Amino acid sequence: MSSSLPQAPHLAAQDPKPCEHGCQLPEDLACHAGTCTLDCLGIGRTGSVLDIISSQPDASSNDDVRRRLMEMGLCNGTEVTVVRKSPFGDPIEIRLRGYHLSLRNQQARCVRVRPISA
Amino acid sequence: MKSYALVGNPNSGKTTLFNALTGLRQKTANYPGVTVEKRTGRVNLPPVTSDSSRTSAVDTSSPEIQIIDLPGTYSLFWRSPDERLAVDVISGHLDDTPQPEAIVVVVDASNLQRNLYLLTQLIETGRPLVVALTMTDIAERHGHRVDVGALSMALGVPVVPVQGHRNASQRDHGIEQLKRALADARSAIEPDWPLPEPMRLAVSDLAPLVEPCASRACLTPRALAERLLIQGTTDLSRSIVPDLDPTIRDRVEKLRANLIAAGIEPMKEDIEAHYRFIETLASRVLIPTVDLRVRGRPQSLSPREQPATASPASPASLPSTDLRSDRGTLPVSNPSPPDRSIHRSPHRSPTFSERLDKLLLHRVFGLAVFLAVMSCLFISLFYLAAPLQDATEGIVSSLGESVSTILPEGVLKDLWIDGIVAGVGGVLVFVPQIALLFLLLAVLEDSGYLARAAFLMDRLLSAVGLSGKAFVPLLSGFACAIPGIMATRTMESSRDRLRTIFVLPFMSCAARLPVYTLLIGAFFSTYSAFAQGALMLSLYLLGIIAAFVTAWVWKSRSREASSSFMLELPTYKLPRASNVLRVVGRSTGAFIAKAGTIIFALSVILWAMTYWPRLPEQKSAEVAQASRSIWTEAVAAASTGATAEEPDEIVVHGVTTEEELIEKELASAQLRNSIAGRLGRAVEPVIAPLGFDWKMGVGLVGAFAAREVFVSTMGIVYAQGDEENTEPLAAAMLADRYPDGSPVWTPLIAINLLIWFVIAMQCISTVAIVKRETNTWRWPILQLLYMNALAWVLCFVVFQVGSRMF
Repeated sequence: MSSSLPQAPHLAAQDPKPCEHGCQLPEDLACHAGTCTLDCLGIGRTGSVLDIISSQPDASSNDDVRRRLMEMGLCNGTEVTVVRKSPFGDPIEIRLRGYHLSLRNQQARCVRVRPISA
Repeated sequence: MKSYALVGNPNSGKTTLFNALTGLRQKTANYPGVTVEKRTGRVNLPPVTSDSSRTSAVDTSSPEIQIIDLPGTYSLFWRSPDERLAVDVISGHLDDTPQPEAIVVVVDASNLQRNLYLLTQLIETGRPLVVALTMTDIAERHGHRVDVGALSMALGVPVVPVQGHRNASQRDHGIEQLKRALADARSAIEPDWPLPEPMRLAVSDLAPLVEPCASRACLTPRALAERLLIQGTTDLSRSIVPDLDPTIRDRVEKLRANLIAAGIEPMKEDIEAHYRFIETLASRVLIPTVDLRVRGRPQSLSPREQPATASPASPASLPSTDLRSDRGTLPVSNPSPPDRSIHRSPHRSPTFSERLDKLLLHRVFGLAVFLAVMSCLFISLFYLAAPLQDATEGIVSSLGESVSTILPEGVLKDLWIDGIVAGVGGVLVFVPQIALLFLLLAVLEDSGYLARAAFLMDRLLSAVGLSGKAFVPLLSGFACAIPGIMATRTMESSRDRLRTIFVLPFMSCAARLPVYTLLIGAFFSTYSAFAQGALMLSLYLLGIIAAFVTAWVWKSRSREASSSFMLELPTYKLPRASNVLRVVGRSTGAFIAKAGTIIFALSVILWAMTYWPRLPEQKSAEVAQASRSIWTEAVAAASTGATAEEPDEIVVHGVTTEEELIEKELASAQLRNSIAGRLGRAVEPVIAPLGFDWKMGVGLVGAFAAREVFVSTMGIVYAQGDEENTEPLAAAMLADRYPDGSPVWTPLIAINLLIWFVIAMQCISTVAIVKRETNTWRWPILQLLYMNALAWVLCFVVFQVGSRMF
């Protein structure tokens, strides 16, 4: 997927570790260099939230998971750190706004972040 | 009477505060979503001073008020049934609860930003508010303190720091101030949310138009305008404003279409505007306590000097006058990006909880600790409880004997010994074990570990179609299915919730424990304690396996996308003795109350059913005669068989004298003739293929009221006619024989009966609660049929295979 990225090679150069890709974004939101989804951010790494894509492709306004993720504080610009994965790899634990939240990879996959170099 | 609702995020300390306010004993724990129902308590307000009554927005003529404790919610857009309840009470949509006069917003100071999000939503309801700031001690340990005066000034509502959990000697930790501040509750200043300009204009445009509908929707006009822009005039918002004018509706749709065309998504912008406001606010009211640099504000007050209560109505109490300029100007006219150092701080040292989680959530140690914790829980249940249990047994039996010496011979004495002591006493013996189980669960819950357990177990549980959030309900199910089923209200996905409710009764509840203990003690006492423990453990595992297989089959048969999982991992807290004891006291009290009422009544009824109708005189004579001839035959057989050697002791049907034999046969004939005996024999054809006799049938019928009644039924059935009641129940059961002399009870039968108790659904209370929680008879009936059919099939296979093998 990452080989077909159309733009922003400078961004990729800037960022020390672009997403290595389990990101399964829909075609139109194809993963850009320098961004990735929260599930593949890597343990201990911090990212800045770009947006939350809908888990349901059609009815975006009724997507209550997306709404709740935002209401829990995952807004544009929020810094979020992946603390750990659970022993079985799913769910993951993240830290944001001074508290700890766990969510499944399935939800983390909806959160697009720009990694911040440590 | 005025009522005030306690509203806040899960785990923000609402219930602890509620306890401190009302003194009412009730359950709290450190797991998000412990309160799943509303609870009310009463508070006497301190006398109103003339100053506060003058400026009060709420009439305080009545000194006694009602406090409603609501389930925690992160947002007023509810996702789970418990959140919905909170939202419905706030907006006054619940028939049995009038809309609260004002809302006490509980804000966790150690997790300020996310807690303030709910507060910003409550501001938009326009309801009078008071903020209770909890966990200020944890916030200070995390390195920041909340400037109460500034927060109060910015919001325009009273803010009171409280320490709900410090009681007794340190009683007055803000509770009295909070009570006084209740009278001062007022609608907050509605901030000018930093929305993108087109959306701000659209909101300003709509707000005056929708003003007439606003108060009925429990929103300010601006908030209602925002809500309409977010949701459109779909069915969803039609439920809030059913009578929206068609011209306004068109206007809404047009504005909304314009925004979306301009690339503005109203929902996202709304939430982000709230958080931008919160970030600005937090950067102003949070004062670092460890970081020495104070960002551009005079930090003249030490925590000691800081006023305990800050009310916007009394500016004199504010720390410094320049704070007043914050008011109103705070939200939008701050074009510089908000200072996010609160949640950025990259070089912060890890908190205690984070360091502990490194171990407790470690991929190897974490699981090891989890297994160790769960094993300790169950092992201590048997080892710690045993001496207590013996003590209780001693008390019960000595009480029974001492009273029976006073009672005259006759029906009353029979009722006392065979009905009440055997029935209620037999169940009371298990109180220590049950109290211990509740105690251990309460300690785990209160510490915050259960949220971690849910995190660890989510992957495994989701594999069988459950979820990490099912962990706490399932664990509670080991105490009792009813609180477990109630606890599923915290689950957002209705499918996951239904599945959890359906399989939850497979967890071996405390009521099954007496049955397990009785049967294992009676039939496997010759084995080592380890083997007995292993057998007990395998019973619990059998229940878990049955639950998982059921959930898995259900999941794999219905093609569905897996549901979402979001769970906060709260800060660890030391379990508070008062809190834990409160929970144990309540749960154990409920069990004893059950023993004193339901089990008492059932014991009396069951006893009566075994006592009447009495055997007719003529029939008794026949039985006595038959017994005598059996005895004579046995004596004759013994004397011919053993001539030369010493005469063997003659044992017939487990007894050694003729009188005992007659007495036993009479008692058996009496029981067989009684109503219970007839009932037992009526169900015998159904249970005979499982190896159960009609006496067990009587017990199983009784167990449908409550499982532990089986023990008391067996006590009554086997105590019948045994005037001294000296023979322990287990020994009596072992001595029981079929007419052909073969034992009624064999280890195989005992195992089978144990399997029956693990699997079968035989608890009317559970059926009732499932009906209530699922709102239909379909699920409880399906559950009843499924579980009992499964139990029957399993027992049938085990008995038929087992009896051919041994």
